[in-house]
Amino acid sequence: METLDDQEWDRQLEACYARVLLALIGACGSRERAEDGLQDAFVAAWQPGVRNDIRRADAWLYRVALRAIGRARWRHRFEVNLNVNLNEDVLSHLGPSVDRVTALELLHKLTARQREFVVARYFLDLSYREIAEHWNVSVSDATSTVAQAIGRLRRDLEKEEGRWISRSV
Amino acid sequence: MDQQKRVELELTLEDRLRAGLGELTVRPYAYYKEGAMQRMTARSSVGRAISFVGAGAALTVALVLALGVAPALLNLRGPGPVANPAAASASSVPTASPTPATTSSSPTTPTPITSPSTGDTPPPPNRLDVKIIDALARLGVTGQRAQPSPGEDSNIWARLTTGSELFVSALPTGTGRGEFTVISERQLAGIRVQRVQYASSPELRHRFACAADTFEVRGAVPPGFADMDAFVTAFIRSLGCGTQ
Repeated sequence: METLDDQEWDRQLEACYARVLLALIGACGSRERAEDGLQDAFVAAWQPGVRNDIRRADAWLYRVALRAIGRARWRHRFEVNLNVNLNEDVLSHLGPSVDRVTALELLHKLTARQREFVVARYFLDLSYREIAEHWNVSVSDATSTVAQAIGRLRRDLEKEEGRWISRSV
Repeated sequence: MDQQKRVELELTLEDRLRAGLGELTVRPYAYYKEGAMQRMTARSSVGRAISFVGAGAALTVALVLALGVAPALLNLRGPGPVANPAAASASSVPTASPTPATTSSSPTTPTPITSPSTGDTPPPPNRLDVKIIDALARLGVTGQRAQPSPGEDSNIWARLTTGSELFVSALPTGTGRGEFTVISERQLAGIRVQRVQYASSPELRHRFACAADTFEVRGAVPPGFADMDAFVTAFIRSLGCGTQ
């Protein structure tokens, strides 16, 4: 595979970082943890040689950041949260509070793994094959995890369905 | 669940995720990238410190063992005649100095325990943190540490009233943080200021030396200054460098 130069790699990361951050917020339910995870993924992304094996920067960042978030309880003992000194005024620039995003209420009804896969599939548009590759599971595992998640959300989604159809028509 | 129903639910879910998460705003790319770069710098510094402390601790332990175990072993032999002159000269040194062996290790062993980089609380601002934050404050900009630096370098971040961000970093001159290209140079407040670009980042930085430290400024121009040159000029003066 061709080696990406720094600028091209930087462009790729910049093009996808916002979507990945939102996906992480969806998966972990916390902006702070998502931002910390994304920065850890960026640290990994700039390590020598890493970029050459990456086919989709967004999928890779999402997966690496989720791993970092999983380790966050330990890591937070040693590192300082960048938001520690931000006051409410600064945070108000960042849009509505995560608590008020109703899509997150829906996702919280799922297990952590189901949330990760659902967000990867329906927000980042990863195929089941891509999910399987990045999480090191079989395609059928990825498919059935998402199917179980949809089954669990069915009642909530059916309430929304009418609204969606009326908007689409 | 039939296929048609499943597709409808999937579309609803997709729609809801996009609408819900799409409401949230995201900070500029530079914010996250800068944070990552600072973590890289911090981790490499901590790694170097840990390896240095580790090597020092290993040497101390080896020395203590050598000085402590040798006399014990030699004492086991009792006061009998020494077999050869070399062993006699070796035994005379450690038996005479068991106390110095333990005192010599004491100054080095507390170092990793009290190291600020491994504590639960961030280390206090270092000299450069204070210098930059004070200089910015004199210009009406509230700076804060983007991340505490375990070493002597400093990374200060300011959220401007315009919503954009200003970054100032500094480190003792001669301790580089990577290769960069000098795009141009000019004199501001009597100080040579370079526009530089690092290989790892396309963003331009304004780099200058003041006393024994090198400073880099980048990001947005704070309100009240016509352009970055005007701000850098004022910042140099606020640091107490250049022509006033």
